[in-house]
Amino acid sequence: MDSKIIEIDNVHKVYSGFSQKVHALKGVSLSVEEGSVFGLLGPNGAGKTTLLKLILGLMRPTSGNLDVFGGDTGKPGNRKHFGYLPENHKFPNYMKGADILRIYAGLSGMPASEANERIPAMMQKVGLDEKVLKMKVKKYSKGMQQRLGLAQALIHRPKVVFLDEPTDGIDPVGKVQMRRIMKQARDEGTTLFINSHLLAEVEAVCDRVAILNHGRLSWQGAVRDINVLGNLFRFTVSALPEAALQKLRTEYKRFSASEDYFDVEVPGEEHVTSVIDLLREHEVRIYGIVKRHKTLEDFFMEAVNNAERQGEAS
Amino acid sequence: MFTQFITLCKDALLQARRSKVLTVLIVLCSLVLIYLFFGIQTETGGIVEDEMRLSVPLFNVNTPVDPVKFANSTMRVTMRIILTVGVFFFIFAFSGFIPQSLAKGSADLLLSKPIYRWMILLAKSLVIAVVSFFTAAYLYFGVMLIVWFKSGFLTDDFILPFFGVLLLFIPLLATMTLLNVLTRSTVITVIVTLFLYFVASMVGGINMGPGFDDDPAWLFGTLKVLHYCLPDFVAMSASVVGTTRGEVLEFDPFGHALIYSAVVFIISTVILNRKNYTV
Repeated sequence: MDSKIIEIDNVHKVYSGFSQKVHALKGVSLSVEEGSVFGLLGPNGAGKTTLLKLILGLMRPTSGNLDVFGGDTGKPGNRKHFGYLPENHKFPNYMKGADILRIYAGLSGMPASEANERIPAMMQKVGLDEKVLKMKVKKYSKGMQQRLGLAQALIHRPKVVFLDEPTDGIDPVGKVQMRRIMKQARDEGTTLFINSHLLAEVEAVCDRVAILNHGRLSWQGAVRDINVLGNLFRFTVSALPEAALQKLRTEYKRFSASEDYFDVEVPGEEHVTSVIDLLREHEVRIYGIVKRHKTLEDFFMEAVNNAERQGEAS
Repeated sequence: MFTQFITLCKDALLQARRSKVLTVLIVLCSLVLIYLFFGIQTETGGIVEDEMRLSVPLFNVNTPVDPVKFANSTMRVTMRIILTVGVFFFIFAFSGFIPQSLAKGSADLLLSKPIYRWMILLAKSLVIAVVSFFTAAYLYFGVMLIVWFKSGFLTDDFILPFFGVLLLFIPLLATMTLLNVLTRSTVITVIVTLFLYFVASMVGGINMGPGFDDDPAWLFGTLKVLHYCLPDFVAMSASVVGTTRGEVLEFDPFGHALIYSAVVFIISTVILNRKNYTV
């Protein structure tokens, strides 16, 4: 996990229209290590799809450097190690399941004989019955199309797989299965680059995460770093008097209260006793204290809100 | 890259087969052959194509006085069918070939593969050319057998007009490819190709007439420019039909059409290479 296979340095992308220019990416720099599972997060219009298209060589950056496997993805030869499952993909209607796998494996450079041998195993891997191979894809449900899409992305044993909303349209059982496949691919040494809105899914699968907002990278780092950041505690208590509320708000930097509990971030675990003392002082009954890990959702919202505040301030 | 190119060709062939284009082409050609078999009557005293009767009983074969003239007439009828029905069918059948691959949701997946974009256009065009060639060959051999059966005259003199008529489809294919790449829309491709075909035919027709240098100057100047830029389908058709009367296939309109096609194909490739197909 020490060699970087994707290196993006100060990449800008400007879409020039007839009447206006859209600055979709504003100096994005990030890297993805071999064998890792990388999650790209961001609200709608953040520039995630643009970044993915630049990495895949479907578009050229306006400025900046973009290296994948040490080369330029604009050259077809450098894309041979890619597997890709686009969001809202649509296979040509005239194709059957088996044709999809055979044709897309062939387009990735895999000989037909090898592809034919791999097809049954791939179908089993993504949880599709071999009978559906003989069906035209227009008869497939959304979930089946998604599974087939994943099979075509993996069939030629790519070194890096780009998945854009991989569990979109899949039922809960399928989602669990999809996560298992992703983890299995990672265990086999495949690097995964996941673009998803589903934060819980990214948290469950990814090692590293980058948050993109308004074309700028708000944060990037390891998922485990998110979980250990801060000392957030949840106190389940009886009703808080106003004086206690005021004191908690002024003394602690991160405080939010609900009807029967409040969350507070303390500088260190030893400071929990100070909060308990404060509550006792105000005769508040304590029913429970739990240390909360920051979820990716907490972190994501924080990063997005911070970026927006900075944007407003500037 | 060879594996990828072969796969692209296989995909295009699969598309032709599954979208029933191949089947419909064979059925249409068979219908033409049936029409020719039953619809052409030979008469003692020779046959003039305009006097061909539309229906005759099966195996009502009177030996024509001039079998060569009969064969020529049959071939002329066949050419006219291809130049009218065939052209329209070609446009309708193949205008959706490239848009399916570049459709929203398909384009990104295809273009992310380790292929050069020009390979997509080349593979599709190659398969369309091969399908058209074999369909034309089926029609050609069918017509020759009918002529042989009805007149006892067997000849290979008509290979040239068949090649000529295939050349006429190349500028149509080039135009469709450019429109496909620009718009990704089958409907727009059909409409604009038909429009250009009519405009080019009209300009070609005026060019063949006596009044091309007439007033007003601006109109005929425009027509001259159009005639210079667009392929001359009228001259090509006339030349193809003329070969059945023993005339030679004129090089000029075909050479002009091939240059037009090459330029349009190159423009299509450049556009496809630069275009960002947003999903």
